[in-house]
Amino acid sequence: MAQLLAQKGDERPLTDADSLFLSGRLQSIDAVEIVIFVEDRWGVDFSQVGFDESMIDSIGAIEALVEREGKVKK
Amino acid sequence: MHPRSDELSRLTTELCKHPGVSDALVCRQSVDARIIAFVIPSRSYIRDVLGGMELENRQLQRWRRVFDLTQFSRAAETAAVGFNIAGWKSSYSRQPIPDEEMREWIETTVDRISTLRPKEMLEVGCGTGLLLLRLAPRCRRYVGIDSSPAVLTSLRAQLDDEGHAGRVTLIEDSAKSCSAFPEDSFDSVVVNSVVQYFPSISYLDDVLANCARIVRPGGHLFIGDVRSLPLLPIQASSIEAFKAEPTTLVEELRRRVQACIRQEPELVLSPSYFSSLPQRVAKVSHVEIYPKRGYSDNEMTRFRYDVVISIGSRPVQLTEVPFFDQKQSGYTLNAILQELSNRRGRALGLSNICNARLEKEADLFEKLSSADAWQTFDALCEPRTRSDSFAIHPEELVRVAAEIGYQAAISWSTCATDGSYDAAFVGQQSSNVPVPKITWRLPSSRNHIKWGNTPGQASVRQKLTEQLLSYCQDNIPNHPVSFAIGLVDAFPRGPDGSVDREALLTKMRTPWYEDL
Repeated sequence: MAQLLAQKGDERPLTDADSLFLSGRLQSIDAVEIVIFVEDRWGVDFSQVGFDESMIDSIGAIEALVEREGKVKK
Repeated sequence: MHPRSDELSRLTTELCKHPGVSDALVCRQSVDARIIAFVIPSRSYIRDVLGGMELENRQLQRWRRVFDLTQFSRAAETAAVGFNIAGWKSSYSRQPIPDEEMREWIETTVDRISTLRPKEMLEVGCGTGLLLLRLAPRCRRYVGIDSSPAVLTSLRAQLDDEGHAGRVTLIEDSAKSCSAFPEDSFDSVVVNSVVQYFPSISYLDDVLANCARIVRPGGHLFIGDVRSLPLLPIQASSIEAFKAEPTTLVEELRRRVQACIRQEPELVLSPSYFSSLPQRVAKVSHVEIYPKRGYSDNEMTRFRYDVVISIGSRPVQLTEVPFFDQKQSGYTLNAILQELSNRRGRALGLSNICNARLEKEADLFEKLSSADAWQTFDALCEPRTRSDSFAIHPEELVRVAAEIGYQAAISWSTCATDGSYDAAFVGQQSSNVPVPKITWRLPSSRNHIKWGNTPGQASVRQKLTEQLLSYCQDNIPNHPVSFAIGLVDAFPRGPDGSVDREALLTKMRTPWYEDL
């Protein structure tokens, strides 16, 4: 996450609740990086679970998603 | 100590020897005495030697994933036939674009394509079939290509329901698969709201060359919903203003606008790229650049345009239209209608028409550019008292002209950075051609030199610039000149086609919102 933001020159701090996409801080094409990460690391299958950017809109949201739908425990 | 002109031409000659350089011109700018080397890079060097091709492939894969993901949403699952608009989100609010605006967007696009009377159509990037499902019934043959498997799965389901199976073929592949079709196999190719996902102008060049090859003379390419490069600054300023707080400083807002432009992930194109196609592709005989139709107010109607490319032999029969500057001639909408009534069918052209869709955006941008850095955003928002406005809404103009018997063609061929447009009024009885081909005005010199942004390519362009700088350092002894490199797509040219050095020397001041 920090890497993605740094690439954009976004040095502002990021809390667990800060919005990534709805705020416009990151774009749809950046969402793909997070999707791939979540798929590879925790085995979440978005074609089964469904997808909306709100599901990965913050660190907190991603944690909750992985808890719910992750098949592989870290 | 000012470098002598022979030192500048030495620099030019050396640069042109580098394999990464297609052409170069080194100038000392009169505005600020900076030495700038304008370089047209070699596209094949960037792709093959500097790793541009890998970046392109990665970009394509990411976009394919973005579109796959749209089909896993509730909106896609519950979409009505022919209205699967999942993924269409406003860049301002990040919320879905309202249904009625999407309907208007679809209908105005279908109308424009229908005037080309397609019978054998290829659609590159057919998506969920927003156009396909409406255009295919009028065609003998329709081929749709898309790279997203999830999107094609959704479309196939809707196609089977509607009984198109015999007429429509779907192919899961990238735009590059156009190369597989034989020459002259279609009368029309549509590439609508797709080119912004191409990774580079090189890629676009290849696709368009193939599209021109596979379309018969007399046919057309319709490149729709293209994002405008001249308008990118006011679009970025418009979006950042939407997100700003009243207390945000102008200095901060300008920084955000610069970042927004620099980080734009989509391919944003100048009309000059398309207008110059006849010089690069022999089969292209004429190009028209149309602002969007419609009354909706959104980023598509504000900042995007459609391109109609005529395929066929030259010379082309052009309609000569005399142009008068709107503001200088005092042409409000009523004055225009009066003049047209008096002309009884004789053609009239109006140039530099103030665009009502963008009046507020252009005004805000102007204030943002000239305000003091320490001012706050809310100070910019104080409304300016406008005594009279010449701003005319393009849709309004076309409709009222039609009511009095004139077909109005509108154009962004001049690439005006405030969205001003030209209009040509042709008597309806004299225009039964699908695309009236007008002698449109050319863009000013500055607007010739960049054809598009370069999303995702910052690293390879940086590499090229560094290589060129050290190459010059190594190869020119006693090289006293410190200079900057500006990568461009073309040099500005005068009316006779020769390079307009004057423009490069005097007019190319880099504005605050652009990197060189």
